[in-house]
Amino acid sequence: MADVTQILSQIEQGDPSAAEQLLPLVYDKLRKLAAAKLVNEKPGQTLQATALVHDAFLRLVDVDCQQKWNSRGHFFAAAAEAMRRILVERARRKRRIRHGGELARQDLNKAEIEASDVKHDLLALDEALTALAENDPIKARLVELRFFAGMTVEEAADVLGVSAITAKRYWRYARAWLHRRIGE
Amino acid sequence: MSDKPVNKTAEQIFNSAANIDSPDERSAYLDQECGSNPALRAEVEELLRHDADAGSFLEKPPQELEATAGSELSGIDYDEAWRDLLTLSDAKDCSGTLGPYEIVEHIGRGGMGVVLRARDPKLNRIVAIKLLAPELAANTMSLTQVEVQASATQDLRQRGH
Repeated sequence: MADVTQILSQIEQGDPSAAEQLLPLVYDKLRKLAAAKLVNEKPGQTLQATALVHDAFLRLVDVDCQQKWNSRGHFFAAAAEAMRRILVERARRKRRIRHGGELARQDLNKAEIEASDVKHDLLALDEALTALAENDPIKARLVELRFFAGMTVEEAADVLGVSAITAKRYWRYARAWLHRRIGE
Repeated sequence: MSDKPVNKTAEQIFNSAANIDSPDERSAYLDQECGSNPALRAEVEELLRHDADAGSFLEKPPQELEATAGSELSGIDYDEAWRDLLTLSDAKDCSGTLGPYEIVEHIGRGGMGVVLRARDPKLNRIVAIKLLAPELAANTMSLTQVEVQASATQDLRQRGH
């Protein structure tokens, strides 16, 4: 399988088939990196998804390539979408197991209850984001880049090719729109 | 070009109104932009209310990836953790690939890990794959046990059982 740096460089050179390969590749790498890291964590410890995306970037993309802004943008755009899928899959799986007759944990504490609320919210957010993307794809991508890949407004603005001021305006509107949609 | 001003969308009105802090001025601005259109005004006001109520919504990163290692206590995800090791595949009836094998399904869970039904596409036969639980995989004794099992299975097959 081609590596991430190689695919990013093919995208830079305008190879359209390379762009299609990027998402599954980044998705796969992120999942494996998460699995490898989680094996070394204590049970119940959490990994911050956005930190994982940044870590993956440093590990998977060559230093030479990192210096080109576009490569960074392509990588983070794919990584944001991949991380969204990974988190949604995990949240669905946990919900299925929770409702599927598995033994409940004994020591339910506040932190765990909060964590399961977050999981529920994540599925609602995923649906709301899909709805937003139908009418307003650029705002949905902005939310993905910021929320799932941990980019700042300025970084996300560069990836999307809009000004930082525009991105801030988009962000505020998208946040209100999504909050309303989820609250319904 | 017509002299009549083009009606602004709810989004445009929201963008301007959100930057007006004084409630009176904001209300006056909404009167001006949505005067004859109560539905538009309701839409903008609703969005403004959610903007104010959103708090830290989406501002904090999702902390979703939970460790399942050593998982007798924490392991609600234990039987599913193996899925994270798979590579996506388009093959039919396949949850993903693990090395050369196409994983078909999860058969069971033993004391040492999980057992998966898989296809060996090269020889076109079904194989069972035993995955050691992460807390055992680091343990030499467990690895030896698996090797003993593997060689016992191989013996059976060669004798035609």
